[in-house]
Amino acid sequence: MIETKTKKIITLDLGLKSYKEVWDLQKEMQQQRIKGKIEDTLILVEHEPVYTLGKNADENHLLQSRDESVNIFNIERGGDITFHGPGQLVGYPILDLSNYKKSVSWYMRILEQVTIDVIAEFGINSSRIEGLTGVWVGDEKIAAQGVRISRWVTMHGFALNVNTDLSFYDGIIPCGIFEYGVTSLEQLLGEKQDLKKVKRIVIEKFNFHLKVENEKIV
Amino acid sequence: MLVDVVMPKMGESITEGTVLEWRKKIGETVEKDELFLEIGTDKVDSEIPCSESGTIVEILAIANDVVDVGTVIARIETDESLVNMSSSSLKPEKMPKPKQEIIQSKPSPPSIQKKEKMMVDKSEKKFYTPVVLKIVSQENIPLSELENILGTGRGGRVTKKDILGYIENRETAPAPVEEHHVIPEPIKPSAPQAITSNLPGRTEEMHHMRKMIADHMRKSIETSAHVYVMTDVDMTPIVEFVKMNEDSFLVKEGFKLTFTPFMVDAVVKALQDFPEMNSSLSGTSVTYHKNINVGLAVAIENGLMVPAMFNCEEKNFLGLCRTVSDVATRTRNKQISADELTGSTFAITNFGVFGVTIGTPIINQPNVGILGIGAIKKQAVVVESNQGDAIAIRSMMMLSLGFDHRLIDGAGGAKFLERVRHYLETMNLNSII
Repeated sequence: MIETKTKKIITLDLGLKSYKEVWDLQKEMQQQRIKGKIEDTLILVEHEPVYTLGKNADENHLLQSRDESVNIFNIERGGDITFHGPGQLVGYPILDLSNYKKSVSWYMRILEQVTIDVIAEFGINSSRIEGLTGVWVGDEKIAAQGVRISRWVTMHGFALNVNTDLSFYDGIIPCGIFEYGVTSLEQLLGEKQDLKKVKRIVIEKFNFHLKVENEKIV
Repeated sequence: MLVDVVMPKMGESITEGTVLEWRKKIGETVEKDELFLEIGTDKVDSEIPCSESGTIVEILAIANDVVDVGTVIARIETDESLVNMSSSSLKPEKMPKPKQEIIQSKPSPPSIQKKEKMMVDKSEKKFYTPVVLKIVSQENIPLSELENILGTGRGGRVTKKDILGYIENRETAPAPVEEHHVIPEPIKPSAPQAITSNLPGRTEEMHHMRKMIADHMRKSIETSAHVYVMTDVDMTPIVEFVKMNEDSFLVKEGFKLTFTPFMVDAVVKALQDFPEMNSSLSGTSVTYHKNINVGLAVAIENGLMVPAMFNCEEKNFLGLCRTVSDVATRTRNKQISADELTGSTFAITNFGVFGVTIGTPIINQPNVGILGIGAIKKQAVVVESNQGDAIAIRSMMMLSLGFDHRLIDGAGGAKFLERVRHYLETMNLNSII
């Protein structure tokens, strides 16, 4: 069972920031969290366009046809290749899982459930696909996940396509999955969505599923 | 004390992990709680701290190895004074005495080179895993001979595969001859990459889907006891029917009338007669499926998919035509959902569209049967009738049925295939569309 008493999660909304800057910040915060110097934190951010490759990523999934001006980072999270860019809400929880449950599968399912509940607020049914981590609407992926854990403290996290320019995904085979496409709230609903509203719901659902009170929004 | 490092359990439903990186090499010391290993599980990479201080004396799983939770992946010697003596477990007196001196005259030129190299490296400890030592002792292989085996494991370590391969070579090799000019076959390490590395060409990693197909096929071959029966079918009435109706069908339905729905129709009827062909095997338990979900092998760019057509037993012929067309089109357009890629209870593969006469398809697990359809070709055949035998030109097609002999014997497979043939040749083509 999850205790409810002393836990709190601080939300850090960084707006639009470059990938590298927030990546460095995450690494720093993960170390600080391991040392117990900071609280559990949920970073919310939008990135400038960037492709990121996980440790096991297949370079072949980065296609020749991609926009060459987009930066590429080889990073240390799990998973294959993905895209981040404006209009996509990225969440990086820096959480000490030993205060919740020492289980990576539990954590991944929590992240999926948060996204599923957020999307449901917009009247859209989404689901998991067995063996393919992430959140799917039909057979199109709307949210990707990739995490790195050190001493049970997490970094990296999830990326939810809200108003993302999906043409950037044409340059890659997201997560190495050939068979399926990608989608966004904007594409499903036919118009751009208010990112502030999405952020608010993400924070609410995230705290709900981790059974904590939201502390403050910086 | 030797301490085992096992693949950690990272979550309740997680049964295996991938070794991503060792941050320490054999012989290096590691502190308790130091992050010394990185493993990957479904989209999560984790840094793993060491549970004991000591020296890494053995690494049993290298980067990219997928290992079950709880499997020993390394060993740490916590007592520093024992580290350099750890090969003492290999003292010759503990080993069985060599039976024949003659065996020792066998080492081949490359092995000798290796031996010399080892002499130089003698200060380094040489390690043999317990499983290798066990085999060595069972097979009475002297230590001196063991040292001559080229290891393909990390750092040239002799793996189980190496030792087994060596024993096989040793047993099948001709009896040793005491003539010194005879150079025996070198003992080859079983490293597959070494075979091609010198040949000109391009090496590339398989695509994701190719890897999945490769894995799926290999597993199926390892799982099922594949056997085949084949028969030819007179498709003349169906061929003529299609010729007569294809234009009107295309206008009415908006897609082409193909032969596949006829196959599916006959297969569904035959599966209803032989329910064990519509079952799945899991170990020793058999599940007979209520519904008939025919998987249809569809060739696509980069590979192959076998989407299932669900509840075929409920569909009439036109329903099957529409389902086949819909599933094939969506698969080629990569619009098929993941749910449709599992759940088939029997599969059909039509390689005949590429012109070949016959093939031996691999079962789509966990099914127990797969029907291969050959090309329809006009042939001269003997036709029997009341007026006597005659030679006629007929449109003939070969069917090959692959089935799992663990569950179904030759008689069962043959009866099923005969039934499919029967339903195809006697299909009532009036008013089916």
